[in-house]
Amino acid sequence: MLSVFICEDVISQKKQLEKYIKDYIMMEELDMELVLSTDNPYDILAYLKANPNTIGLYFLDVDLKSDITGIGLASEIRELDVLGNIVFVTTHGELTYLTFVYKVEAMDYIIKDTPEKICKRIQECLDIANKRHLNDQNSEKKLFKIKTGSSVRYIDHSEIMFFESGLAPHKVVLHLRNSQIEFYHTINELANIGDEFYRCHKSFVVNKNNIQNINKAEKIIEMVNGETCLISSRAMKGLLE
Amino acid sequence: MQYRERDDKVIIFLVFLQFLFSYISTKIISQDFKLSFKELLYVLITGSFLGFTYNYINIITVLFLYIFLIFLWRNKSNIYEVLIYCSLGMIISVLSDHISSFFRYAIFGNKSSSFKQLLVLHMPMYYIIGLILSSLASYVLKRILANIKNQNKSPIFLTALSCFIWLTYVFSIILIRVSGDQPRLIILNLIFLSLYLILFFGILITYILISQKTYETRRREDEYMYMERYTQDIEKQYNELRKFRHDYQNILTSLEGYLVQEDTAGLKQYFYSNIKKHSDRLMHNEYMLEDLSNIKINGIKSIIATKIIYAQDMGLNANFETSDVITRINMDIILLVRILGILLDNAIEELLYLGYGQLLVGLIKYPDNILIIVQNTCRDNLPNIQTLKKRNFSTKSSNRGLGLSNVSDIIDQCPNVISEIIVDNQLFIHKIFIFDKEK
Repeated sequence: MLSVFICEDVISQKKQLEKYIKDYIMMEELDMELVLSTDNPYDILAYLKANPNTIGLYFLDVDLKSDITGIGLASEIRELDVLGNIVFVTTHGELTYLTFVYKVEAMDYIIKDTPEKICKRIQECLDIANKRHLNDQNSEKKLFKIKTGSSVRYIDHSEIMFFESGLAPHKVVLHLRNSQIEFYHTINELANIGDEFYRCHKSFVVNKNNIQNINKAEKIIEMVNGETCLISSRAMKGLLE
Repeated sequence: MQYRERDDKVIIFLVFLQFLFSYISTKIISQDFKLSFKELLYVLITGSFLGFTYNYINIITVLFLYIFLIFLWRNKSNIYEVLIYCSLGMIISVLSDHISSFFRYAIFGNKSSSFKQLLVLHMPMYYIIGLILSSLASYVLKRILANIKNQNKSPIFLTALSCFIWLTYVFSIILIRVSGDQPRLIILNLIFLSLYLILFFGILITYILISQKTYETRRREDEYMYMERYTQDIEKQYNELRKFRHDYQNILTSLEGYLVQEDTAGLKQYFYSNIKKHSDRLMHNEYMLEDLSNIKINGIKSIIATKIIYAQDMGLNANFETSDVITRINMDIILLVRILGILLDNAIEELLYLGYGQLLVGLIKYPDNILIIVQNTCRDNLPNIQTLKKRNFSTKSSNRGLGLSNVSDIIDQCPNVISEIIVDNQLFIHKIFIFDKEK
């Protein structure tokens, strides 16, 4: 069950949010519950400390009349609930979009606009959070844990094309379907993270499930996303078996 | 070296050893440590071939050796660098041969050119001296080339210089061969050759120092220009603000007028026709550079300001944001400015191409690192990231394809910097994490 929280210091707006959320949960019969709606940010932190296994969806106002802002509150919530979804409710427009998304890894933000638009945005957020929650519960996905910057991320094995050891020591480039992520690691241990991974070259560990084509003449493996990695003669025999 | 014993097999073998050394030396200098069977085969065949021809063309062999070397390297790097590597490899080969000959004469006197002595004394000494010189040259050259690359210059000057020195070497060894292989001449030649090499490095270092200075001056000029534009923009915004304050006063007065007269209908009309318009304008782009004052590093502030102001001038939707005060970034600021310049130029070009979309630039401070994000709308059918990162790749047909590959090169140089690129959902996002401590 996903727990929903609201922190909003304007009472009328808080009531409005509560109503939208409760109505939608009831209407769609979502596996969620509005557990706490408050104007005091410390109530949420106290609740999380008392119930450490909570996975929440948080609707936070950015300007709280308190000694911490919504952004500061979000950072503290992150510490207590790593998997939680945070949504900001704000008047600021796009002014600090990147801060919302990257600093506190917010799921989304809602601009205080006309009531209909707010209601629609809230419903979208509830849907997304619900879908994510269901996905996390039901999946038998194998995840690779990676630390980039200050955040820890879990990456689905099926998204991984290959790992490539970087030119600089200890840097490894992770090639995903649509992105490349650098992180600090050595390539040696990466072949052991799952059966589908194979050390095909001194500098590459490839995901066998995402191979499109092997060019034997040029010793190149083509991946399903069009990227290519190298394969050594010795590894070629092992791979073909 | 000259071979007194006219034994063909011995000569083939010795010439082959020299070619093998030139090959190893060039490999060390170009820092290419990959061994391939094909290459070794090539060296074996051409080396033996050169050995055979030595009997007929004598010292001219050395020129063929050089050409074979260039041919072997031709696809490994661009032609300017290949010429530098091969010329330096040959210079070092000749120089170590001379030094080794000099010691041989010094220790064993004149009559020490028998095959046995050459093989047992000369060759090992030649290889050892040569390997030391090659490693030294490789170290120095790597730094010099990195320096040239950082200044966005082509190494053509270095190429010309090393080819010239190499040709002088060839000339002088041919000369000495014509007049006979006298110990004194060898010593004289060694002195000349060493002088040339010292001259070579002398000119090179002077050149680099001068070009570094001009580069530095130009960079400062650029930075000054950026700062000036930034100041002008701040002034413009300040004037806007003053105008707004003036309007605001007027609005309040008129509102009061309507209230005193209790004219609700007039008030309503006034509100929607005048005040609403102002509030819309307040949210408009041009007020969004205020976060820039949070950056206390001038170089970074000015490059972001200039590019974003430029983008806004071009009618694009471009914003910058940071909620943290940034006073220190653990990275060479010049390198970071170059990276930002490339990323922002790319983003602006893409938006101009699309004719719509948004550019967002942000700095975020974490406990142990600073994250820089450049995010822009991009076309749907962008090639995969590996292709985008290739040298000489460009989405346009024009000659500027050094963009992303340059960014990767710079980041590879910095052990405490890592990057992430996402191309998804018509968004191109480049993140750069700069850690406070070396990893």
